[in-house]
Amino acid sequence: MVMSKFECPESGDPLMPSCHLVADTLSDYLEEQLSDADRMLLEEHLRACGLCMVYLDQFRAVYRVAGQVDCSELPDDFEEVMGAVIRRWQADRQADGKE
Amino acid sequence: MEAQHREDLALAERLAAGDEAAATELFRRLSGEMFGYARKMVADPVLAEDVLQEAMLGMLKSIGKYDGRVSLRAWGYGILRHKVVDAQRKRGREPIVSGADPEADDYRGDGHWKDGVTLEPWNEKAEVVDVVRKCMDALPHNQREALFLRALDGMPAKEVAVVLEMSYANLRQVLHRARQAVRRCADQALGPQATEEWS
Repeated sequence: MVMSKFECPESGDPLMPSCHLVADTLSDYLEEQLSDADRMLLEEHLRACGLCMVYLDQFRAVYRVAGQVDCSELPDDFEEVMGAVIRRWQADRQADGKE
Repeated sequence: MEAQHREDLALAERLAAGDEAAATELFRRLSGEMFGYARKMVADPVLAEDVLQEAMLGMLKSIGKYDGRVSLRAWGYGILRHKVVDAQRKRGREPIVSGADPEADDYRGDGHWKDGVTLEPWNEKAEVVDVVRKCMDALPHNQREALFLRALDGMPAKEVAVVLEMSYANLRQVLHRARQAVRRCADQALGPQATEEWS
């Protein structure tokens, strides 16, 4: 089991985003919502910070899996159920004087 | 006007006139993925089916209020999510709202990782997909519904925001918090401290 031994840079550069800010910005990064300047700063941080790079890989995996819909199959009797819904709808329309 | 928008308005017009074939068309188009959503949001499959029926009936009965500002699909999801909330209230489960950063304690005051925080790559682990899905199921209601709706093919984020009755900026925040919470949950399950429950 390999643990990351990298540590984040503490360059003192006021323009360099912190690890917390990088983590807070990753959805916007993956959805390409960042400005070019912000994206470049974030990528500069990632290149220098192994821990944040592992975080990004994990976040990307979550982003990918969460973006896949696992639709359940409809129950076998669903056509009948929908037929019953349509009959209820038509009965309500008649009661409301729409038919 | 886009073709899908024109189709939606034409279908709504037929439904408003009481056209049963249009109702069948609506159900065939939406009921599969909507059942998937209902199953995600309520654990009981029978309750999910009831919720979907109520939502479908609700769509038919209120079709006169559909104004075409969003797709018929997004409008239907707006009705469905209210039926889900109603069903959960009847069962005594209020939806949970959580906007807190689930990882705030991992950072020092200056925003860098605290000493001792370690992360392990997941790329060699075959169970990642199952673990991430299990963690998604454990999310608070509002985060789970946002993630699921955003994942639906072709549902733009701005329409998801309309369905969830929140601003686009708020939706982005909810989605991000949800992904953070799932990452954290999955990391705990896949990392060296994982318990047997996850193995």
